Amino acid sequence: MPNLDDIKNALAELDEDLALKLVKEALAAKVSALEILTACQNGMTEVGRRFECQDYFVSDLMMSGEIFKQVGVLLEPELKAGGSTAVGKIVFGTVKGDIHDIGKDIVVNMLKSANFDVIDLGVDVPPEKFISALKESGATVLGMSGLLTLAFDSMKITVQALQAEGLRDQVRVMIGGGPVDANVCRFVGADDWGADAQHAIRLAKNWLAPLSA
Amino acid sequence: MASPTSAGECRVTFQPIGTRVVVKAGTTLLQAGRDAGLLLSAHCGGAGLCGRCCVTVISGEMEQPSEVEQAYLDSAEPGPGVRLACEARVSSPSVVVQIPQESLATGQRLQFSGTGSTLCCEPLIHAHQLRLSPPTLADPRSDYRRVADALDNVGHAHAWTMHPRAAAQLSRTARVRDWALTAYTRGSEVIGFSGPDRLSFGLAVDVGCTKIAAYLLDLQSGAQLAAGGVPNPQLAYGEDLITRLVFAARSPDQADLMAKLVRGAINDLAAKLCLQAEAASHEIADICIVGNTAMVHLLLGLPVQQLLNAPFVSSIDRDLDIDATDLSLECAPGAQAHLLPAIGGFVGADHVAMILSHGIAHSGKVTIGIDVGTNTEIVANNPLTGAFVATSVPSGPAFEGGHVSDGMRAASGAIETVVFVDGLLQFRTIDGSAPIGICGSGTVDLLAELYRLDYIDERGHLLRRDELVRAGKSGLEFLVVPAAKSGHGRDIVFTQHDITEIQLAKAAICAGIITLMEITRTSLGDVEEMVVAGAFGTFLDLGSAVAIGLLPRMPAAEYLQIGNAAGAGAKMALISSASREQARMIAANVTRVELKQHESFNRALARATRFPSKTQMSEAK
Repeated sequence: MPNLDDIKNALAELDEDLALKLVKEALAAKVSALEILTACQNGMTEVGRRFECQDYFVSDLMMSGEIFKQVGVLLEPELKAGGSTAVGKIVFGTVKGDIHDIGKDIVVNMLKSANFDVIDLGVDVPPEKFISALKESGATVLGMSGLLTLAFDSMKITVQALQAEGLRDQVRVMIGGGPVDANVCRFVGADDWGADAQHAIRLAKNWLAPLSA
Repeated sequence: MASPTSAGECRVTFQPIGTRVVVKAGTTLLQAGRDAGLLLSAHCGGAGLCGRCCVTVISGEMEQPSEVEQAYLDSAEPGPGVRLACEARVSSPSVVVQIPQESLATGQRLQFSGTGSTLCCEPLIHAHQLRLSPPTLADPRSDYRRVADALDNVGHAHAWTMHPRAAAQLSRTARVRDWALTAYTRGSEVIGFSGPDRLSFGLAVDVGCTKIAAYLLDLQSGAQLAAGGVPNPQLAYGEDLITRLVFAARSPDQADLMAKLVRGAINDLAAKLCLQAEAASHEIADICIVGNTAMVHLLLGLPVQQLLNAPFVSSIDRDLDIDATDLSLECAPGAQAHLLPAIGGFVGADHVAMILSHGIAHSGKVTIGIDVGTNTEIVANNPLTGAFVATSVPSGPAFEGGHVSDGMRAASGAIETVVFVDGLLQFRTIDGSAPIGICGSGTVDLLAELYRLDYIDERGHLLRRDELVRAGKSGLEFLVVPAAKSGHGRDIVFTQHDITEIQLAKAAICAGIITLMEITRTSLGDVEEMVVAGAFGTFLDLGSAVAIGLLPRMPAAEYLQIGNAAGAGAKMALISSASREQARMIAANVTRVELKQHESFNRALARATRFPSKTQMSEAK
């Protein structure tokens, strides 16, 4: 029977073929999808740790995201049936006018791997779409990504829309993307900003799971 | 003896070039440079972020550094007297500034020759020799009527039209030349005149982001008489397209400036070519222009805001025939500029020109073609499946030296090829000058060699193989050239971060190719031609490109480097209406692909950051 540790290591080592092979074997051997998911999440945490100490780089994060996505597809049927154990819900997207998604995907995958239920709205997302996703899902965290300086205006308009809908007090807003910094955060009216995926996870944990942070 | 400046003015002298300019106190050195006609690099558009415009103030008083500049100076710790030209403002009456070579956007090697198919000439312009009898009391016909009748007499029975500008030129030229003239016609319009026995000349222009290339042709024979290139003067306002579009979008005056700069550069280039070919600019009877979508919008002064946001829409993308005087171009008074059509989005007229020039639409071969730049255009034609698609993928400025610590454009002193011999790194620089940085083709070679010798693993991680790999400012770095051997007295290094930048750039291109192949149901073994166009493509070592996975390995394909194919396409369309029609067909038939709509692209991108396995690599070389 495949070792859950092997699965974790395959992910941490970014060995796509091995990771998928082991996951399939584990599923066939009736190992619970949840346990497999946890092993993969631990692998992703290790990837994040290696990125923080500069052993891994952006290209590695991209690869880990892809592997994790594929694993997710394999596990989805069983996971869905079993119900969610997610720590909290986050709505995420790249704002209107911007279609950069590589950074966003890395953050979304990392958040998923940290057990958050992420509703990824994709790219070029207008404020209305963010708002209806927040209302539908009841998520209390909104993450916005943008790489173009023009994205800042879209982010600001989205935060204003939150205000207009009376949601601003219930939703915490984080922003990220190349040119985002403290000044942009103030301009946009977000609660906080992050320079990378690890930062996003820390913010999400603080806001959604302060006891387990 | 220098003339004294008045109060509130400052004379700035730029060395080593020696240019001088007088500006108001408080002007930035970047602006002073522009006023002096010097293009300083401004990758970030002059926002004080990239550090590329560093200059050394040799003498004279400057204002204290701004917060932005101080932040840069604190973090970069450059030598004494070094200031950021985009932020530093002059204050005393006289300032002398030293510009290091790497901060200049000029002095570059510009590639503009293309192989192109044999030029097929079906002129749209005709040159007629006229020997007219001067007006008399008995024959007081207007100058226009005299010409029209003469053209009718030699068997051209049209209702000749003539623009007032051409008439003005006629009235002056005829009397100076004693009524012996060459008349230029396009269809039934008389568009210009020159003295007797003159050729009709045509100008083909390729407006690139980095360089503008132009060719002067004899419109009757199709022969190329002169060719040349200049750096695009818009560079001083932004290294990349987005920065320039943002600049133009801010105000009509700024949009105007962008247009004026490129039109002025075309005129300057045309003047040089005319000198070479012993032509006069008023003898340029036809013009054909190609460029990428952004360049064309800036040239024409079209709105660009809608190009900056998703879904990135052009104002117009069909072929155009514009009065050349509307573009302030110096040529025959009735001459027109023909702009080739674009395929759509950022897949522009230059890509259509490339497809035209290499005959990709008609070759019957399964072909992949790329033109590498900040945006890389890719075309895939599979006659077997009937799919003909193209896309644009942002590869970023890494291949032009951007975001690479010791990266630079292809200019004097740039390391352009690299190879390890007996464990020692050997390199060649452009012009053989002492090395001051690495250009795009050099970085690809370097990466291939580092991988071959196990200095990096297949994920692109630097390995501490020997003392050439050491700790740098932020992460590991490889020492390419020690300070003692470099042209500027500093070590030239290749950092882990640089490797990541090139990895992402090459992954984008490779993933774009792979995705187009999926869409056209083409397998690697199906491809018969892998065509690489553009300046970077010309100097690229294809073996290195395949070794690092910039280009996928295609076992049955012939890899071809075709030079400035866009320019070659512009030439073809200049002298042949059939080529213009072909260009229209290409634009209509090629389907534009938006890679973001394809899930497989992101997956291919992540995978393509890896380096290909070495067993395959040895076969590729």
